[in-house]
Amino acid sequence: MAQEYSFEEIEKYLSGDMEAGEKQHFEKLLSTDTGFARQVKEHRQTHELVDLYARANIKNRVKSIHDKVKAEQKAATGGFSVMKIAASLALLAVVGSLYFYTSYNYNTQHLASNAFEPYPNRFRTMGDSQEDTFARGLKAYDLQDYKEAITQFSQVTADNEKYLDARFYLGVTYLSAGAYAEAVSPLRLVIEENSLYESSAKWYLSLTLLQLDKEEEAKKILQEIVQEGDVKSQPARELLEDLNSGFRKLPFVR
Amino acid sequence: MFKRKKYNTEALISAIKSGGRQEEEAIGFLIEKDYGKIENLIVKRNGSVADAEDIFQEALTVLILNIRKGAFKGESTVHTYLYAICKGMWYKRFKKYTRESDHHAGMMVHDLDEETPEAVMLDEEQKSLLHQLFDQLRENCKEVLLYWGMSYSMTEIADMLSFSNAQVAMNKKNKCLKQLKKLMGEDSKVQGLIMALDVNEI
Repeated sequence: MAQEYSFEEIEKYLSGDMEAGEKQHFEKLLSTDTGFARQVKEHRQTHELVDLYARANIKNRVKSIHDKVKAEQKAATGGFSVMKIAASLALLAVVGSLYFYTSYNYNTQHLASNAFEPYPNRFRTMGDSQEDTFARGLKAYDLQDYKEAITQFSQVTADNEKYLDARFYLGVTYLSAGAYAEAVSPLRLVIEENSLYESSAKWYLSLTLLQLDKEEEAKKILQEIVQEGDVKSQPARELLEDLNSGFRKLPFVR
Repeated sequence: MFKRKKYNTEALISAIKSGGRQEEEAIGFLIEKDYGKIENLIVKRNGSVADAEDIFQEALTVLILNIRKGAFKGESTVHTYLYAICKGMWYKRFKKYTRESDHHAGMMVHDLDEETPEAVMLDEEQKSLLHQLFDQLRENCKEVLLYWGMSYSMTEIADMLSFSNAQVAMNKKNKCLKQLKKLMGEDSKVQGLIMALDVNEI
């Protein structure tokens, strides 16, 4: 029975390489001899196991390629990647710089301070005592001794409230010293008197108001300066542009 | 992500037959192009993403084997073929699921084509048993049988494993198969695996 066909011959049959006549004989035996049929079945099962093993190996390979593709897709669309971290850091740097730049530079007080330049001392020769006091004030002002300057200018204005030069310098000195609340009244008075300092006084008043967070009023005055076209119209226009800048709409800019 | 080469069916068949790096590129292309559709198909029909991945990988395996055997010659496009295999495999697996539990009852299956191969579902224990069995084979029998199972020709096997010719490779394959048959007969667990395969009707 079974011994009639060798392993190699059964292999030949299963591989489809057996000649027709021999195959007929083989199949006849297969249908009549149960022992032989079982032997062939076992042989066939080894083939099935080999197929299964090959399939498992190919599938493993396919799975590892699929995992690689997924990882690539994840890297390209989401998840953490070196590129993404680098981009985040770059964005953080930009936002950070923007934050510091705008929160510092577009801050109202900074805009006002930046626009501020001490009014130059235009007086050289003095005669009477009032003028001596005024001159001492100017000297202290030049030396940035604001306390002394304020004392002298206040003295002059107390003696003569129409002494607009002294009032003007008193206002500017208060502003220079950071005493913003005190700067407002002398500057307003100079503006009301329509003195030659009017445009400059408006300019310094607007800077003072900005320091006091009275932005709307400051802007109104700056617009006047621009319209009047006097000495401070150019810096007033520039300051208005900065005050209306989009950067100032950022939540962290006051 | 680097840009992948595009393939038509003919180029895919040729790349997969070449094996190695070219085959890997072609498989990567098929995964990128076709997996999304298959996931949709299976998830819509009550499957999970894990089911979709498993079925798709199984279908790609069948495609690769059929290309090697010459059973797939590009009568339809590779994409249509893959879709059909997946659909059929999912139908059969789903039927098995519903036999095991009524959880998924009510799924519409009338439109599914039964003329497609079945996924061989081996659990982890069966997989490890299979690998243990082949690991016991001596010399390079594991490789010989693997390549033979992958439908490489005897000439190709001789070339890959440095045998002097195809006849030597053929003799070697027969010896290895005998060895495997002997191991199978000795191992009752393997008998259990074979019984399970019979139930699965490969």
